[in-house]
Amino acid sequence: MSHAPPAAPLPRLLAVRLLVKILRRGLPFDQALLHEHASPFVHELLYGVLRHYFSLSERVSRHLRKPLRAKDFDIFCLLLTGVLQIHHMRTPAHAAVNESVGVVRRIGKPWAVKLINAVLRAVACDRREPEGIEARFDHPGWLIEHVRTQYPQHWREMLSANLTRAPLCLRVNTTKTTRDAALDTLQRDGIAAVLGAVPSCIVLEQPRPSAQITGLASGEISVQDQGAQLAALLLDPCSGMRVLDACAAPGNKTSHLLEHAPGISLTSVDQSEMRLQRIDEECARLGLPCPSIINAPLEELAWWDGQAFDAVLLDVPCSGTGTLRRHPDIKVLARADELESNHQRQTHLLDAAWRTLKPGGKLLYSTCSMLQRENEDIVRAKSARADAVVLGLPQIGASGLTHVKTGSGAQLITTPQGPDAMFYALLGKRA
Amino acid sequence: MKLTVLHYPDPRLRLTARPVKEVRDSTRRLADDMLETMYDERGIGLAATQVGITKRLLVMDVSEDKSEPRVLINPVILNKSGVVESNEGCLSVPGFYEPVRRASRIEIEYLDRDGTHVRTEWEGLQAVCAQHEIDHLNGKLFVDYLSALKRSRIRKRIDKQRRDIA
Repeated sequence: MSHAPPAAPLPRLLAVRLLVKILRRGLPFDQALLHEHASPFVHELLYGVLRHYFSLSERVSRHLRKPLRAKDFDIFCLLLTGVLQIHHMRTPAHAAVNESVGVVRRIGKPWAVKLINAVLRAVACDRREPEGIEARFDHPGWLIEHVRTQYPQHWREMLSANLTRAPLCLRVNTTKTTRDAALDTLQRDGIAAVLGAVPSCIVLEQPRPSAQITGLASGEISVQDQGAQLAALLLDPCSGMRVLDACAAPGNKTSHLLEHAPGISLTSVDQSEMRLQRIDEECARLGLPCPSIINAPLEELAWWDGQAFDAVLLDVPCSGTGTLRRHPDIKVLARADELESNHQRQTHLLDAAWRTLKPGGKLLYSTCSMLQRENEDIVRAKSARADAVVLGLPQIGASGLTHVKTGSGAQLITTPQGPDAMFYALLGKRA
Repeated sequence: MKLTVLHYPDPRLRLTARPVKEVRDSTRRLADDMLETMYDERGIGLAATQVGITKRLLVMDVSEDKSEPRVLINPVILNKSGVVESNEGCLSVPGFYEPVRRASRIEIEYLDRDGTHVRTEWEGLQAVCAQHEIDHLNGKLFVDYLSALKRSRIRKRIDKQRRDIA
């Protein structure tokens, strides 16, 4: 006798399973997908449900006579994917209903067939807009509150931009080629792209699988958001300088620093050994000298030989709320109370990094967060000290990217096709 | 040594196997060769009939990591209960998988590789696999449980594959 080969799971079934892992068990999106062969359609379902989680939940709950039991959370997730298809993916309602019913049978909960039918058909006919602030803006309430008070002029466009699909941005390795040559190569391959606002950046008009992009394997190009590409430009280290990349892993900004100024002497520190390993591989791919890599907690300074650095890049761990287009799971998983522990950690990291900085040197503080508590609040406390001075960020103004000046730094604003909402502040240490 | 597995509709698959009189070294060698063949073909069970030997001997291993090889000599099912339907395939009918209903629980007795008498109860995949293999010893294949329509469709596909190769 031989076993039947495992039937390929229905894409919708796989999506439901992964959603349960993410929403119920709090597994980050990337980890949930790690060992799964998810098709582009599954990706679209997952991104869609996480992006529109609040409005989809509200639409579903409206038509449930009583909430589902905790153990039937998979049925709830299935309903979310169904409503997503009806309202956001232009799947005909009858098709969405039919496919969802097929999944219920595979899950082994035939009692839910009637429920799925009834709810999805009701949702399909229901043209009322979502109610409640969370559902209207598709963000958690606490986050909406923060954004609304911090950005009274931009908050609506910021929240709605977070619901769009992020563009695929490339960074040109200027030690190997020029941006114009790289753009020519892409266009010759039939990949529509335009020059980005940041001098190293090319923005693709349509995201596509990285395997189709020439120049990735040969190290002429890396994938990196446009906003993140500002980091090397703003710190702007010169050949011969001792430079510290203080929270280096996985090394996207590390390699950019080396592309920007190959003659620097770079030290990369990070706590995560696993993520540090990628720096080696990345530098080999890009044909860059490998920096000296140290696996240690930055705060404890036990790793430091006491020789001060001319320039420090401090890209601290943060809530990631500036990257909600790429990581919509953060909207559902992040909690307001994490903000305070992030704030403390970031303060400690800045203190430690500051101590390694030479008088007359400069430190770039950056996050991919749009929350003041992780950004301006941290830097302001530091810049108030006698030995610190806030330096300008003329490159951001010159790039033309939408941003808000915060006093000590600049907050990028996410716009459709625009950058992630990075925060940057450049501090100088008085001699 | 790897053996050749007969493919449906080979008439030798229809022969009834005769009991093993004595468990000798040659019997054990045959069982080991059959296990090797079964693992090589990614099967979970193989009856002597399928390698052209009409002896009541079969091997099986339903574990995922080849950790539970079993040799069954002169197996007899004493009791059956319950019903389960599962997708079955067969090394003699490669590439086809169809649902077949069988007893979900069996009581079985047999001689193991050392000739020791064993009497035990099995359920689940192990029970299904034992029933499938004992059928082979009686000249029966899982396709016999399918509707005439399905069986003839499989037959036609196999005939066509042969023509394509020839």
